[in-house]
Amino acid sequence: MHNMPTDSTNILFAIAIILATAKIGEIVAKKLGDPGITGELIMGIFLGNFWLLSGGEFFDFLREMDILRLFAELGAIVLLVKVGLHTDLRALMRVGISSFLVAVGGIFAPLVLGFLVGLVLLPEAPIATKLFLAVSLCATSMAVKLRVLDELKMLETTEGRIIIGAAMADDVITLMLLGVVSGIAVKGEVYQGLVVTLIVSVLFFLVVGAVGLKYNLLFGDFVTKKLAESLKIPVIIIVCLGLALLAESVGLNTVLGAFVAGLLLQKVRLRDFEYKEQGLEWFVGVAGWTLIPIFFVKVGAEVHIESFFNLKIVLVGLGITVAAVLGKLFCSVCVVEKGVNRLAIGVAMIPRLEVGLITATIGKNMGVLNDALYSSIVVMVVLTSLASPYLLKALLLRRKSLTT
Amino acid sequence: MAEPQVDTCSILLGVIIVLAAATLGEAFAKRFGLPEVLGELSMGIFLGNLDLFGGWQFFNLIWEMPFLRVLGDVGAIILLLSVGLHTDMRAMIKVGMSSLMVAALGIIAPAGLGFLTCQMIIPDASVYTKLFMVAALCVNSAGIAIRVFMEAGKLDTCEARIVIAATLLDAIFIFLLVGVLGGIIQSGHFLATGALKSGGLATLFLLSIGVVSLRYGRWLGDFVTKRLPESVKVVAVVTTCFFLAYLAGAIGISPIVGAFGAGLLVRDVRARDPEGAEWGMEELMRPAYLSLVPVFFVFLGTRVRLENFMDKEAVLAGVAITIVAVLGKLIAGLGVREKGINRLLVGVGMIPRAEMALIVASMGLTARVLDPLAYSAIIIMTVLTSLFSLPFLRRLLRSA
Repeated sequence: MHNMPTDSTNILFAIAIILATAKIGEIVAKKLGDPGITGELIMGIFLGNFWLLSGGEFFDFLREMDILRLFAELGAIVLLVKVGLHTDLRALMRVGISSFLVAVGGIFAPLVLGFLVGLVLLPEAPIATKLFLAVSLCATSMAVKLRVLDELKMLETTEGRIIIGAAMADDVITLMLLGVVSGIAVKGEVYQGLVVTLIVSVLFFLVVGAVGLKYNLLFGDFVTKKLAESLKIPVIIIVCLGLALLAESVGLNTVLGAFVAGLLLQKVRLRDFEYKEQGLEWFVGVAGWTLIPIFFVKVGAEVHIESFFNLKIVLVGLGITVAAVLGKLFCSVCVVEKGVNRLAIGVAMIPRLEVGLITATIGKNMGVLNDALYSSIVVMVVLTSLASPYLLKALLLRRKSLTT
Repeated sequence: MAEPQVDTCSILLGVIIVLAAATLGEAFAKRFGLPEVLGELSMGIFLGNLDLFGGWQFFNLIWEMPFLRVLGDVGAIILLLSVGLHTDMRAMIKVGMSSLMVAALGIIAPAGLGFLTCQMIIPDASVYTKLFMVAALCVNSAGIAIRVFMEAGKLDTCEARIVIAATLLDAIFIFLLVGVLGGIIQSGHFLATGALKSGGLATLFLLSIGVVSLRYGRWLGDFVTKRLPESVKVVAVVTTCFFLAYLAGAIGISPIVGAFGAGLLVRDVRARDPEGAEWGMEELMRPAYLSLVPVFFVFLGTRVRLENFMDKEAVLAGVAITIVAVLGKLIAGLGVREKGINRLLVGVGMIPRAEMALIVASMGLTARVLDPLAYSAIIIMTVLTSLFSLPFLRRLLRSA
């Protein structure tokens, strides 16, 4: 059987199971007021470690079916295209000094703390491992923040603007760092690797900045107006995957290319059946709704709960969670404006989600992070993304009641 | 551990190449006024056999990637899902009698003619070989003709409905038959219980999908539309589709039947965008359709090895069964009972064999019933019927 081999239908079945559980997780999480993605992640952890609870090996395919990993990787690419589509570089340049300082502080502090945790708790690990550990702490989740701020109607306040600007800058810088660190891990040698990949990634981002700022209008116009409707979608997909490929082949990572593709495609418009113009959102939306959950469930399923039966790993997990929280609280110090709720800004920067998980996955795939470290990073992500919305709500609501 | 990284790269490259090839093929086909599918298929045949021309093996690596193959299969499933979304069950039942007749004739005519031809061209082959060849003649492609109908915007015609229904019925019957045959070959004797069980399961599956979509389709659509959040809707549809496809595959009828059924079930689901405008599922699935369906057809093309065309005997046998294949389905077109329906169009719509015949052929190959000669003949028949009937079909659709 070639065309519809049984393994092909088995994969369909696997995807159906993954999507169904992901959505159950999402719905439950949303009902409880938590980010939907965290629900998907927890479902993934649950399924991946199902045998620990029951002894049945029914869900083992989650870890073992190699093709699922590729679907998950496509999911990560779509995720970053989406982030790219939402990142407004022009607005980013206008947000001002506070956002920038918050972002830099919010990267610098976790980086140092994470590296220290690595030094103290894992003295014999290679330097690339410590670096990956540190970088995975730098990210911050835009999605969680946007949702909470929106819920509290805080998007238009000074704090809101600073937070969103800083989160965008944070994403960009973390992705750049990720490129550098994975370069180091590939080359295996710090200084040479550092120099080469630093140059490559700086060049890459300069090109990106230029493209994102200057040519996305031009490119968008070109694609929107000059190409036939049926050609647009292949062109869009080819641009996304091509840039991902390019980034990977210069020693950075596919997700960086995908991010750039998102920037580049911001202004592209498609036409729907009724000939109305539509942004790329709905197109990416469909791809995203189906592929991104596969990524998150897969990320969760790779968590090995049994690795926490080791005291040292528990310590590492606690250590990086503390480093993650303290590091981002340092952001509060970086705010220049007076009279803003500094603590709220720090707390708002705490949740990690998308980019942190991507970093962890890449490190795991490169063999730099072992199962135990990977698991602790994912658990850190779950903890921060679950806890900080509550904290933030509490803080912001209190402040509100004070000022009004 | 460096391997997975390399993997990702080559897969990205593979997807890019396949998409680019498909787009290029479509553009060529459009230029010459041919159906787009034809462009994709020929592009696939060309790229799949590049190593014959230049000894260049590079592309062969791509065709062997399991991931891309899965993407292609998902493409086939999405295609049938959108056909299901387009299909009005009630209208289909109206032409139900005709469809049944066409389906029955579409098996009887090619089978009778085919068996006679096999007696002539391969008289000393075993009866199983002949049966497999005949089976390959009886199934016809669900994808290709329907795609041409879609391109021409003629999916809502009685002819299209009859073609779809008859094609799926034929496919179900032949796949059950081939499954039973495979069982006989493996175990050496006929297992009536097994045959009955798979037949019964298939009937149950079809009946339950039919009943649910007729009676509860509206209700189901309303429930999903109104109760579920936007981000869950698409996933619910995709999950239903994949699950039913798996189920159909597992009980021995082709997965695409399940996908078609899923399309029927979720027809009435609507999604809402942030501005409150409602979207049909077809529209939401369109990006997936546009990006995955071409992959399927390019892949279909790559599975044809032109080496098969180099054996004179095989070509002769192939041409002989091609004639049978064409005649058989043209006769099937006569099964239409209603007046005013273009019988020729129905017949021609059922000529392309494509993926279905390839599946039967490769099943025969793995069961070691088909010798290389018979296999090549089937491949030749597949290529000829799939490629050369399309321009004709398109002309018929234009004039209709």
